[in-house]
Amino acid sequence: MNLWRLAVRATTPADRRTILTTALAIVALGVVMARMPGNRATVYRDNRPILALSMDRDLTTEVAGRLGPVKIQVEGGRIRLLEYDSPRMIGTRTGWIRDAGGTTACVPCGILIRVEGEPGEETREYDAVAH
Amino acid sequence: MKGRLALLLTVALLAVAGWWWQDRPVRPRVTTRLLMGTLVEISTWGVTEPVSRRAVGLAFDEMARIEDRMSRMRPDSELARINQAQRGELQPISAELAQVVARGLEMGRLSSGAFDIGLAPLSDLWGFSLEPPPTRPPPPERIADWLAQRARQNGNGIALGGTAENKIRLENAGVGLDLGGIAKGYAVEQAVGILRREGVHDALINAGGDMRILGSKGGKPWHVGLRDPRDPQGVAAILDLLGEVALSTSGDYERYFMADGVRHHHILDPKTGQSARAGLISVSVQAPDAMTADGLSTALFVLGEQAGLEMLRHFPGCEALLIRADGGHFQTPGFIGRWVKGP
Repeated sequence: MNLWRLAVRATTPADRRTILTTALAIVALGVVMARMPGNRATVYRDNRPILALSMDRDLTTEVAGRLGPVKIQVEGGRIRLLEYDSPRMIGTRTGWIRDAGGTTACVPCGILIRVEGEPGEETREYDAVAH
Repeated sequence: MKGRLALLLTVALLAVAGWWWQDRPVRPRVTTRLLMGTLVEISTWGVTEPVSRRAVGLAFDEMARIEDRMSRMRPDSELARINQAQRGELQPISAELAQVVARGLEMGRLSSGAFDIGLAPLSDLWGFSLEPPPTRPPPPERIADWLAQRARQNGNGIALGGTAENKIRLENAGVGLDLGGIAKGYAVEQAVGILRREGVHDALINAGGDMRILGSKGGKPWHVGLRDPRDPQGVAAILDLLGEVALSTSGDYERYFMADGVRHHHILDPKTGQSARAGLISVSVQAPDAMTADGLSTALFVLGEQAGLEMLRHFPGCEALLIRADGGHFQTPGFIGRWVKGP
């Protein structure tokens, strides 16, 4: 209580407004960043980055996988692997990914795509799924 | 004066917020790599980003090293060299590989041969590891030939000269090392050792069907879904795991093809040379270490419910959840998990 009185005495109303606005801005920024989907993705081949893609622009591109070209599609802020018919292409089962930390992969092609950023608690229902 | 104090307070507020945002482990740090023919994910909790990055990097390096040594698919691996060598002659083997082979042989004995690390020639016949994957089973006469060759062998045809001697002998062309049912578990366990050594005491490693839990998420359990064998997007059970637990799952849905209405999958029965059909479609085993869980899930899948549960009795601290072909399930009393799929 004394601390509060001291703080009130030591600041003007304008100061207090500045401090309150800063605190609210920090909280708002934190909430926005935690919920923000990733907007960049990195494509890896054999665990080495080979391509960085913006997810803001729709496009279809190809990268060289171990077994031949692998198509990658970006559309509406999401990304997916296309066209490789194999049960070990985890990408075909994952489908589109858009959230920060999301991954999709074609294991035999050695291609992995990861949306940049750390996954939020709300984007992952489970810490892991046992297959 | 008042303005200066306000400025000071604002700066302090920003500094505290920055520190909080940077260092507070509000969610696991997740890193993914393609290793051992699958997607491997390591999640860490409660450590700073540099500590996590270093520890996880070293753990992945260790797994890659083990893959380089024990993969059947890498022509330059130590295991491939042994498989390519003349049959009937003693070959040198490293102490590390000998240790994994010895554990595999022990699993084989305890499962009455249902778990077999000598099935490389049969795996080659089926070709589940090839790209593109097979669409037809191998000709029946080739499987019959392999079975005939096996019948002439002494046991499973693998003689290990003891880890001290570091020699191994494969009896004939019907036998070749395939550690697919156990080496991933070994690699995961070694990675856990690296994480611990580097100061990470709360982590989750998910390597396809092999998972290892270390500690917790700030006192809360790691929240794990168990895939529904017949619905790739669904889960059959939810497992909240804490402390030192390994979980391994073997099923008929990861590597398989349908031919003439029959599902042919990659878990092979050494007695028939065919995909194991003992009434189960998924087996999950919880064990104190990943290598035991890995071997047991395969063994139980091949053995089936009754014989599998009988074998499990030889492994204190191990529990299982079995999903039957008719969709029913059974879990041992100590298995940590909640069935959510319905009856």
